[in-house]
Amino acid sequence: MSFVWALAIVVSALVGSASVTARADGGQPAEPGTAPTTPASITLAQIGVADELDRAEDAMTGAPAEDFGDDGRIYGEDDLNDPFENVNRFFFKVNNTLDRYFLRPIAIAYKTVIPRPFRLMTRNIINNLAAPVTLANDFLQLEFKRAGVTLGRFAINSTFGFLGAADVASGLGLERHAEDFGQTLGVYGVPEGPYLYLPFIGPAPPRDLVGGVVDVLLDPTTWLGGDIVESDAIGLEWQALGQIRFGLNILDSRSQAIEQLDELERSSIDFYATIRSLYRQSRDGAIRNGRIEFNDLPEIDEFDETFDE
Amino acid sequence: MTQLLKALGLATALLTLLAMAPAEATEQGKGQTGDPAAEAFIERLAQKTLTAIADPSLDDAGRQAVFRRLLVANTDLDRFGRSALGRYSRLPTSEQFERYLEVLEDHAVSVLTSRFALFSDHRIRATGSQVKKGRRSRFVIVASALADPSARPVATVHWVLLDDAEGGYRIFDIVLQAAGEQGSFSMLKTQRDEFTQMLRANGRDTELFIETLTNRARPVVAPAKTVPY
Repeated sequence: MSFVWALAIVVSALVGSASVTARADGGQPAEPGTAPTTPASITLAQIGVADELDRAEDAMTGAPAEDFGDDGRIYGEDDLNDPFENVNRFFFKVNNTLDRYFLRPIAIAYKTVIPRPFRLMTRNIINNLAAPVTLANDFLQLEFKRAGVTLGRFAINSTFGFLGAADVASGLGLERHAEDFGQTLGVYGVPEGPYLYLPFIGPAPPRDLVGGVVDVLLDPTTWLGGDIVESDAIGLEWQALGQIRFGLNILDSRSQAIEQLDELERSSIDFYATIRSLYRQSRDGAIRNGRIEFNDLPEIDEFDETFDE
Repeated sequence: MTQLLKALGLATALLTLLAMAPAEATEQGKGQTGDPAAEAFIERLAQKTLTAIADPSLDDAGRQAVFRRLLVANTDLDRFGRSALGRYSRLPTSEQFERYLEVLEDHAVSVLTSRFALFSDHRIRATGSQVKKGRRSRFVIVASALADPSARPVATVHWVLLDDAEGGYRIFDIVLQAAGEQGSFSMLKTQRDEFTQMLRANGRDTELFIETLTNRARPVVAPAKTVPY
């Protein structure tokens, strides 16, 4: 969960490149070249389109008002749940200012100077290093098949993929997915809590904030001490590796969202509200693993004649 | 230690095999009746839009004029606009609602033209559809794959269509899902969160809302030439 996460979901919303989205477990955009996810994975049940149209119809025909319940569907939520909005907006401005004058220019330079194949390898390595956290959360969610995918990807990419630099596993049908403890809590019904936007971190409602801390604890590199490489010329400690990964993750994620984020900021009437909405939609989808239930499709009421007049 | 590594290796191999096993028919594929006409409608419309936006003979105003024509003809802006007001959808008078729709249309034309421009060299292919029938109304969700010029998948786009009972379709919402990601984004939901935020913040003042919307919405460029579409 990071500021970069917020930036990255924006790109998803804009149909950014497949390599743009980062996740709450530290940010791992999908690799370019990966196959698409299962198509038609969204249904009327999920998005509650029938209820939505009923609602529009009621409004236009003067039908009695009714409260919009929070039924968990895309169209079902109408509660902003942002009691600290003034503070959140302040930090949103702080982060945006830091981005404008610091992160964005560096990201542009990174994208300009570093050839795409090297950036792709960097992204793949970062994704691979995040696999243990995803694996732990796969198991915690009792998603054993997905755990198999994560484990297989990690084993294959760490060996045949040259320590994760190449995503060989995707070519074998093992598509990457990301899980984090915030999602795990969501799977078990823990509510998101009031929306929080923190300096440097970005969107961090309590459930995801707790999840982020647990993910750090679940990450093996947090607990590894000593040197990875030790010689007179070069020394690299595990702790330093974690810091490098963190920095590269932010930089790489931001570099892939430059045009799209610029466009979204230009076109949003309330950029803060847009980011908040996209964050929640993204998290809801991640918690559902993109799965949709077909069993409870709502019936669509007939439209009133006057609606079409 | 060796035994432990062997056990781990075996577990990894078994789990990986499990993961690579052919998926069983999912619930999603069972008993779903598609609508090829709706799929064809989306493919035609999307390609027409992208082609127009990529047309080098058009300036910005020309692109917006083309896009406006396509938007008005193929979307249910009334229902979208009403739904985008969320719990405040009954606040505006009919006259206010008309003005709001005008601003919304301008805003949509301006914003969507520039957003589609990011993908003007991309391709959209319908990949399936589902029909939901009411007693008199009929809805279709068309799934489509957006791919870049090198055929690399970029996103799945779900078009929520309302059958207008005259054999035509009207877009009610567009839901995006980036390739390789689980999160999806509804254009209507995003717009609603923005608008309800504005109305809540201004004390449910519809006039002020329309004024703010007018001021903040990106201006539409006036057409400077005849639009050939």
